[in-house]
Amino acid sequence: MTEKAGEEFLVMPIPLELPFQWAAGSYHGRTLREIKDNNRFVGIRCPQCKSILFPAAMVCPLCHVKVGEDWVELGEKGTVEDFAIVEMSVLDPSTGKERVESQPQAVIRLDGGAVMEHRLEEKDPQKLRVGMRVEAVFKPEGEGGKGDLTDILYFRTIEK
Amino acid sequence: MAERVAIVGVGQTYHRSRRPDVNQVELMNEAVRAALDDAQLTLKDIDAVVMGNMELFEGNYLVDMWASDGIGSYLKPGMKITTGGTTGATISCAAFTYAASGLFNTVLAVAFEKQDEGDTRAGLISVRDPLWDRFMAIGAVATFARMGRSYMRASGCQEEHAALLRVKADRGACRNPYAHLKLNLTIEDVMNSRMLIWPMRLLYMCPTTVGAAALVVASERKAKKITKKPVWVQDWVTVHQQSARVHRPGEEARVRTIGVGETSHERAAQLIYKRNGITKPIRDIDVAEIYEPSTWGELIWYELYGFCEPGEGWRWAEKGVTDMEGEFPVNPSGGVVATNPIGATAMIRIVEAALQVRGDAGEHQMTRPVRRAFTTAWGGQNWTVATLLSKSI
Amino acid sequence: MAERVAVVSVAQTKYHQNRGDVREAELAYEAIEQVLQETGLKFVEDGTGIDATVSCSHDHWDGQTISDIKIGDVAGAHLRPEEKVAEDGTHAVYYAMLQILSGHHDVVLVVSHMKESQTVRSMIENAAFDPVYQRLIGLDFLTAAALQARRYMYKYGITEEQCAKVVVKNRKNAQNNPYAQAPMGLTVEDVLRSPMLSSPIRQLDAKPVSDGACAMILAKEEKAKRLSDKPAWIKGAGSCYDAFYLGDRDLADCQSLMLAAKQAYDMAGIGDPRKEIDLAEVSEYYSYQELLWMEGLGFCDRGEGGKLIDSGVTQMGGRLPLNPSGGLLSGRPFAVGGMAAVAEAVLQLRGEAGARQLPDVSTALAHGVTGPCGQLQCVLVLGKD
Repeated sequence: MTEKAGEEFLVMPIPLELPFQWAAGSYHGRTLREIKDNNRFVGIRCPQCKSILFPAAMVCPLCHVKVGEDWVELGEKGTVEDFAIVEMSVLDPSTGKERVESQPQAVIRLDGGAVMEHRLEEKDPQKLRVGMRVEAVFKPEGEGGKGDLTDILYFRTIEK
Repeated sequence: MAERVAIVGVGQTYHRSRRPDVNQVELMNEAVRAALDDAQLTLKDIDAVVMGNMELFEGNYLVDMWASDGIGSYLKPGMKITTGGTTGATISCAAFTYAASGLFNTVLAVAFEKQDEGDTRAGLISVRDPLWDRFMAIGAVATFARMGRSYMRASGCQEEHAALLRVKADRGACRNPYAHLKLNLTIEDVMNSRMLIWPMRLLYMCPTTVGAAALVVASERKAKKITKKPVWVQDWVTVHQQSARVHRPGEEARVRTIGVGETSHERAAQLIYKRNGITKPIRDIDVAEIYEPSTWGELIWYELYGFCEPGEGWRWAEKGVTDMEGEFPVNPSGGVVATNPIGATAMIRIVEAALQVRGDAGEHQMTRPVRRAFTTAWGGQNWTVATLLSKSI
Repeated sequence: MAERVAVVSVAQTKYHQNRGDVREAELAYEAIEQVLQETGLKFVEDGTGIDATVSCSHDHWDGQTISDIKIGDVAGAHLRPEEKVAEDGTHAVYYAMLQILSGHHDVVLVVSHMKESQTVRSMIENAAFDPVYQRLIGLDFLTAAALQARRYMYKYGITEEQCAKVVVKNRKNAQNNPYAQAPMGLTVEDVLRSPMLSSPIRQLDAKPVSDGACAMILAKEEKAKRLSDKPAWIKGAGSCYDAFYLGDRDLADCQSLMLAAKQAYDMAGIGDPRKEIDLAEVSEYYSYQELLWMEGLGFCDRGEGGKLIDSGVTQMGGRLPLNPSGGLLSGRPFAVGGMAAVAEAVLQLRGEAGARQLPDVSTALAHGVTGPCGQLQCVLVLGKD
């Protein structure tokens, strides 16, 4: 069956808003708390394969052993492994509304070895390159850190 | 396996952007009727019904309840299984499992997505962890853009190679009566389409499709009675990858593989090849229907599936190896960049592969005989379901 | 059937009204870790460990598309198989059983997890109804259940007191179950005095909000015998959908449960469930459901559910104890509830049910429900030999 020209069909809009309370737990929660309280990134090392889990988690997915207390500071500086300029409009995950992603998105290898995704301050495509050095800029104290990655404003260039 | 199983009926809807003329259950019903007609069976012959979709996309909780009248599960056993992008394949595997268990002779599997009724982008963003990276989530476009950039940096591949594959997909879709996008594309059309995130243009990404698919699966004894052309299910595997948050100082740049180390594609393909004596896919497999949500994925995954050597994917595109007339045809149906009703997409790979094995694919039927077909599904943060279908047991 | 399947290990968290202290994966691992330790099994590729995982959770409840994505780490899914059954937990056990019967896997981990506390039940359940015809009425599973309860009470003369007796019995049984969330010494009067939620269902007639997880390991015969001295064999399994639109069926009946039970009894070779089953764990989200499900399971004639509870047969000392664990009314989350029923059946068969252990258990029944007014039913019969 295909749509018949001229025929009108009823379409019923049902906008849904569902409230959620997500618990972070003790491991992921510690990573988030360190961002909020101390403006630093911490992961945890697997006692078996020595990989870093970031954000921290209770069990290493590769070895399936419980992690201990081997917390690792990852540093707030890193190197850009990849970046992207977003030319399409995207949805804001918290509101479901359209938004413009005006800052470049980047995959950043922190000096401590872990990789995270965030935004770059530098918007000029000519000044962006894989391998550039960046550091995290946190929200100023008193501006209501929430304990998630939005506590970081962006990563700024520290070396041309 | 306790009991050998075969696909004895396949069905799908004509895939479109919008279907306001039917509700979700009526959409599923179209695919169910098509599969039953194909098998020349009625619902009376069906012992169990399994189904699935992307649960949050249409916003329906437990949609198998509402669907029960339309898919024929009323007063029958069954369940809903959902695994993201791989759902259509997982549901197919569930039907194989039901029929192979010895408890059921004939099993119906139904998968669908009615993307005109929900918000797929919101659904995909909510795959991401609300307590970590959901705040900057964009969806699959960003993932495939990253993979494409990384692949180009590492291999010498140019955008033209992706464009060649996109045109190949369109040629298939134009011959496939069920396909969604049939665009008669040229290389120039593709390379002039709107840029989303470099090097992802609009045409390299799968569309938002409304559609459903269904399979009838039977145990060996029953299959031989139902049809003269059973498509035997030789094997199936499911492999996840959970390494996205595992990091190793000094590891290579990881943007192409979503995490550290071996990928689910590599593991799934190698596992199913090994179990079934496939040492050279290009020789041992006659056609592949793979789940490529983006043309960039298709290029890269030729290598991860072990179809070709690492770094050789783009050369295959250049040489037309995977064209319908090529040495190793991939997605004669037009694939996922042409048609993507997400929950059903992975089942459509199996439907199309089964049609090729039977010789019933019509205008996009391969001219060479098809003895063995390979299908894949992709989903999650790199999850793979692979199946092998065969003309003979 | 060529192959036999057994449950060789079960574990559950203590059920709790709000486990805000853990992420879902950590909650699930509390149960998974126990079954790994008990069996010594590992996630390995050489055929000596766990071959696959079946999980049970729901995208809607978790607010996450592909809700199993976040438990893959703890469920051993890396470079291995995992599939998510989106029903109640009994169907996850059922599917794991089929995977073994199919010959595709030998040993399967099943895990269900849910935090009902993190969102709003009524809004999620409302989304199960037809968006055009039903949702705007505001139906959820509670109001649908109220329609069913009313119809059942009207057709067969079931009283509020008889329903209340189910609550009193199950909350009392829970006092002997260390995993139970809300054991309570109640009287029928306490139940009848509790606030009305949706007539005739009162607060104490309904299951409380609950968080928790349950894990178990299923294995084929040869491996089951090596993995456990006391395997609990799955002897029968049944599953059946009823009609979706509430007006398409007589809500006072439960045809799908009768059919699911028949499948399970036929497979297990049970002729008279009243004599051959030693205990049953049924999924009663609301008190009337235990009475109605007893009828569907053939424990009494149609319309006799009220008389059966009056007779005391289903109490701990009775001939057919129902919900010795305390059931769902004592607090269990939806996705986990039916699996916890299986877990209790296994513990009773193994003689490991502690203070609530029943004597001479050789056959136990576990039952699960999904959907409005028990639309999808699952029955599993487990036995010692």
